[in-house]
Amino acid sequence: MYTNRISTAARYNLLTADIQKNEANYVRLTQQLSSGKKITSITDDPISAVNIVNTNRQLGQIDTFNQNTQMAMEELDTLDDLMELATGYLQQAWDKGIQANNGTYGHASLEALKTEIDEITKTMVDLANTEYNNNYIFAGANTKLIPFEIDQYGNITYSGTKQDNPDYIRQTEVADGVFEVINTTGDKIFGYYEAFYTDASNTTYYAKKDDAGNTKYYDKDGNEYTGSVDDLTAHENSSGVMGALKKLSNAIQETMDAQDAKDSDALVAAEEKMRATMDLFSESHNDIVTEQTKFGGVYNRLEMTTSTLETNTENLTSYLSSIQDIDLASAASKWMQAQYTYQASLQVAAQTMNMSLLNYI
Amino acid sequence: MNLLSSLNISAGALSVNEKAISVVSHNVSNMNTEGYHKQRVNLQARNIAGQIGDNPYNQVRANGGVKIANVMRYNDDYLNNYYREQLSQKCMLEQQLGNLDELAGIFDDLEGTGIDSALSKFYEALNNLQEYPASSTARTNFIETAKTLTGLMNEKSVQLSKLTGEAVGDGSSEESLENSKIFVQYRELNNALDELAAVNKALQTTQTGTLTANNLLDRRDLILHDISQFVDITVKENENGTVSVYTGDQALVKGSVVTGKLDIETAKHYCDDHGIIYPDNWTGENAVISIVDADGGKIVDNANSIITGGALGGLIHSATDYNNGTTNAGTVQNSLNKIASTLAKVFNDLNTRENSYCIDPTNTNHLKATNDNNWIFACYDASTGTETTSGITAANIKVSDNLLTNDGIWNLSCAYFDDPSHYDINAVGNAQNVVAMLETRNAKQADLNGQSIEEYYTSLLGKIASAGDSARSLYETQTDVVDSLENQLDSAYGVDLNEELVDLVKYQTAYAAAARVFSTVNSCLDTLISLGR
Repeated sequence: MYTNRISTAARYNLLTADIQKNEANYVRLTQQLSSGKKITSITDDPISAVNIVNTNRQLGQIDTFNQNTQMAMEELDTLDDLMELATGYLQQAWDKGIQANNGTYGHASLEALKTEIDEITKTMVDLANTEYNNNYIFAGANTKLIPFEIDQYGNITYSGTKQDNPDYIRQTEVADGVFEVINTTGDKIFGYYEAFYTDASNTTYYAKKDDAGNTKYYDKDGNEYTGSVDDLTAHENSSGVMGALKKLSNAIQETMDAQDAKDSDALVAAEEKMRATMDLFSESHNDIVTEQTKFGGVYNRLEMTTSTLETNTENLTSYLSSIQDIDLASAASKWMQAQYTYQASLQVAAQTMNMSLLNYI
Repeated sequence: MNLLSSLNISAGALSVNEKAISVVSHNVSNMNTEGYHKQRVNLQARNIAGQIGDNPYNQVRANGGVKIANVMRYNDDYLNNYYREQLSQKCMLEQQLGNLDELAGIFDDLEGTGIDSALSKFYEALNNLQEYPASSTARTNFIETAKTLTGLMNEKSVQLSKLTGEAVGDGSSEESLENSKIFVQYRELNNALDELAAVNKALQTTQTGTLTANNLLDRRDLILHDISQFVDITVKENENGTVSVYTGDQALVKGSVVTGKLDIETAKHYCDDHGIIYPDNWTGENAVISIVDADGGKIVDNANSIITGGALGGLIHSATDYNNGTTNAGTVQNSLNKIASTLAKVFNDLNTRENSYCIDPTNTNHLKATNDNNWIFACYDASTGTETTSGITAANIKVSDNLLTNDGIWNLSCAYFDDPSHYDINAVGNAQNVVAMLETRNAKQADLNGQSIEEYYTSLLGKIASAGDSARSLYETQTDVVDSLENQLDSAYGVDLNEELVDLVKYQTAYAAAARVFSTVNSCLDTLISLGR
């Protein structure tokens, strides 16, 4: 009773099922071909889907690192140019100092020289206050505060982050968790200069010459010191090229004063001071060149990073394409095959559906 | 004497063949009827009782022609039961797959519009902030990406809730239960149970002897197949063709009485009746199915654990987190919530920690100390109408109002001093706190099974994708099994046109032959009668 028996309805069902299978396959391949993507939903191929998401994320990260590296290289370029200029001015001032030291200059020449040194000092301060992208580049972390100021007493003060404070750094991320420091502090490159006096009670006073040429002493609120000059102790803090420039300027002034006063002992002392500043120029030149070299090294590392990032991007992009994009040639041929299969099943169904004994009785 | 009996035999044969042809006609007209079992006439020779002894004429006398023994209905009960089992399984998988397909649709991150790319952009903006911590542009940009991220999380949460609501209601509102798929199915199931009881009753009054009421049995089997689509059942056949239907151990229909109908209510309604606080102390499904007797009294309060097969079984369990490794809307919602709360905690902790500083809005060149309420992410507490950071979920996470005011952008704490003695009020370029925030990208979070936020989300995507993929293969395999069973059933009792046509010709020939015999016998009788003239 049950052997080899096929009901008419079963025959139709089988035909329909086959047609539908072929149609579904054909529709799926059509969608692939028209979208150009192997998978359109994450359930089509879970492993590829996760790989695609991860790769896209990595590519996004690499793009960020690349941008960071480019911007860092541009800033380091500017930094290098500025330090180059600084050494240039330093060299000029040094030459002037050597000239002043040859002992044959009279008052008028020394006056002219001092004016030039003071001009170079102002230029150096302007240089040190350069802004890059709205940040004071030599201020450490105090990026919105102007780092160098010459006050009324001739002191060159630095108000950026000090070089021994490790929080001066500004960094850029060039790889996962890898940060490069791209700034330095003004006191390291340029130094500073401060001259002041303290009395017995440790109050600070600053010296200033009035119009008549007399030295008067004022505290930080501007009140004049009324005590005796002998009770005051002199202090001088200086470093770097600012220190050198200021000390040279002061020494030239002292030399001129000694020449005017025809005080030979003071003259010898003043000329000694002038000679001593030459060493300071040499040291501060080394300081700047050392920093330049250091940042040169950083720049080279960033260049290597750029090429590594480019290689990674290429590799990831081609990997992404291999898992995501269809191979047009093979997809097109599969699609044609599916089309033929579907057509064939339709034709066969049309022919066999009508066959029954009714045709012959 | 024998001529008359021949006449009777022929007349009997005519009548039998008429009836046989009518059965063929019934088969042919029901050729395409769903669930029709082919009927076959079983002919039997009629034997007239009486002692035979040694008289051959007695043997002839015993011949009574043909009669119909019975009309047999083609059937295979074992196949029927097996088919119902597999059909239940297929319908359950269908509901599960439908749910997983939609779930995958919600999280389609391949185009770069999902949470993964929002997270990437968020971290990229953070990177930019690290370069320019004092720039209002960088800060505004970061806050915008944070808003996009939280907005996207809210949206996905809403879509997940909608998905669950469409399947089983949202757990508290009657209206959403009545519009859900499960409500429609539970009603159809109850209708089918009623129909079965009616058919059973008809069978009781019809199938009163040994012969089967074929058409009623067809109807009964069709209803049983229907019921098995909704819930997995065991069928016990009684005498007179009625059946009893059990799900688990519970009897749904016994004979002509529906002993256990289904009732459905929202989880909130169930909890209110049983004194459980909803939703805090309720860990079950959003709808509760119960089994009630004919008067509405509860037989089984919460039948959710009994109903595991069929479409109802697939739907009711499709949205709850059972913590057993399956992936569905419930587990995905919980995972998203974990991501939201971890994100909020990590960033809020960093923005409010000691020794970190934001910028003073009255003088943007100066730093200002942060405080404990300086949040980046928060949510609204509906009961107090204020912001809070407890109970943050993916549905309610938002960027804190703290950052959304005019001066809000300055409240981001970018500066951090490891050693407090290095603090300088002018150090607005210090971005150490942002560096710490960037490090969270790869940091392993204990709340997220020791994965980073992005890793956890990607593995969630992977789970959804592979669950959908495996459900699809299971469903396709099961569909093939059911299809082949349907073909087997068809082979067992479907109508084959060729067979019927052959039978038709067979009975027609027999009819013609019987008629021929009748006319021959008739003319014999004529001859006999005219003998006496």
